[in-house]
Amino acid sequence: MSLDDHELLSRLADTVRTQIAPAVDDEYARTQAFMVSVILHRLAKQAQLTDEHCAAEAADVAALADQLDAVMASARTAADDSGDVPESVGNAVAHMRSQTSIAAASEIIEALYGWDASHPAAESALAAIRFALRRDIDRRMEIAR
Amino acid sequence: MSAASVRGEGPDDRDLAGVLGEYLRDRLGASGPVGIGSLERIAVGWSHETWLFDAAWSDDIDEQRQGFCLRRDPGNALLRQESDLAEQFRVLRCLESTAVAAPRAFWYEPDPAVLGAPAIVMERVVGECPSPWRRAGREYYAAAAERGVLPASFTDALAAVHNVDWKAAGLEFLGVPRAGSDFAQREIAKWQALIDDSGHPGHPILADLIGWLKHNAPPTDQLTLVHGAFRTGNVLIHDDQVSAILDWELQVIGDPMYDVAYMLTELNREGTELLSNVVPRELFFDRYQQATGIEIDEERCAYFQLLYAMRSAAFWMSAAGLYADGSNSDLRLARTHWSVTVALERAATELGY
Repeated sequence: MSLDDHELLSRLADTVRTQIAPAVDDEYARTQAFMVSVILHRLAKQAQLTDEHCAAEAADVAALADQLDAVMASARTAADDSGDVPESVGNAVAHMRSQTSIAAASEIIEALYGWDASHPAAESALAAIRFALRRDIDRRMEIAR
Repeated sequence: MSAASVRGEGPDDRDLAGVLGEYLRDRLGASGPVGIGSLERIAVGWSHETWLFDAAWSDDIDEQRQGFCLRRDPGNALLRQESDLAEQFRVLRCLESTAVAAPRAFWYEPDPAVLGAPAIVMERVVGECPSPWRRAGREYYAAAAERGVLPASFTDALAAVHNVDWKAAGLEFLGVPRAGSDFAQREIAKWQALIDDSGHPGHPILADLIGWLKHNAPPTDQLTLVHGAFRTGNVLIHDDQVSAILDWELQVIGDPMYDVAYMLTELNREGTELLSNVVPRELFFDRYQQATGIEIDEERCAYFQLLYAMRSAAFWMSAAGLYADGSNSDLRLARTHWSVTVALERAATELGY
């Protein structure tokens, strides 16, 4: 019989918490041992959820990139006096799509704030990004909580 | 790198009592050896080491005895960049002539070879400092709130900080923001620098938060001394009165609402409506505004609470970085890798998503 990585890590965490840490007399070392247990538990959850989270992130990034392309296309065709969507925004969206990583949304956000965060297109883009970021942080909280 | 090697070539902690006795002999004007007793390191915060001890000596007239506190910079602690001991010493000396309850600082020793690390020797103030993050601490503050003395004293202590004539006290060296939104922009830049130094890859929520903070930075119409971390757990209490405000590490000249926001934030109270676990909101508003003449601006406080979200993220990124780069082996710092996520989740919530 073998254990998955996350099961092994979880069991190690339990052993440290229930058997090793309480047997340590020195207060500092005992606290450190309990920290090992906490960290192993987090790593166990991470190992368990990584594949699921990566797949969800990739899907979210693709959907977000589509939404942002649509928002920017609409802004470019709109006849208003507020100027064109800067090239940096479009480039940042393309970069995020190629990276399939939500981390690349930082570049888009910086480009949007650098442009005009109160422009209707920027507001729509930020709203779409924030929806994706909420989903991302909720996934991360499953591990951090 | 071990903590010892960061400190440099100094005396071993096992010799610390002897080293302190020697260090204090001339400074106290002792006619003979200075006896050091009850030397203990206390576990407070993650920044500097704190040691308490009693010194006993004779001068030409009498037997003397006094309690002291030693703070040392081990060179690898959290927020070290923001809390230089030389600056702390200077601030404490400036505060001696004011109504602020702060420990008297006697000596600053920059040479790590003398006391094992750069250090301040200061007055040991009578009082206790229950942790508000533990149940016993929360029960302590709840009971004190019932008695009603500490809430008033706690509020008065903050008012005293904001009432300091900082120019007269010589605190301009902390840096004086220009008119407009310079104070907020300075704070953003400070925490951005800590994030950049941490080596953490960052996260888009942080980019959003920083962008929002920069675009919405409020003007500051009144400058005061700002403590930067005024809450229970950072003050000593004796007989239900604040006997000393501690942790002079993040002080600035700035917007008093920065401290008030820290009082109002839910971050500093767990399961209670009492501000900082001890002060009823109405009492705080009435007493603070009366004592300072400063009207509490809740909109500006809401802005600064978002700035605190950025600061929290910066703290945890810096803490996790200290473990990641091998400069500090404390596993509490390793755990803060996930505290960054918690801080970012809070920021997202406060930004409305």
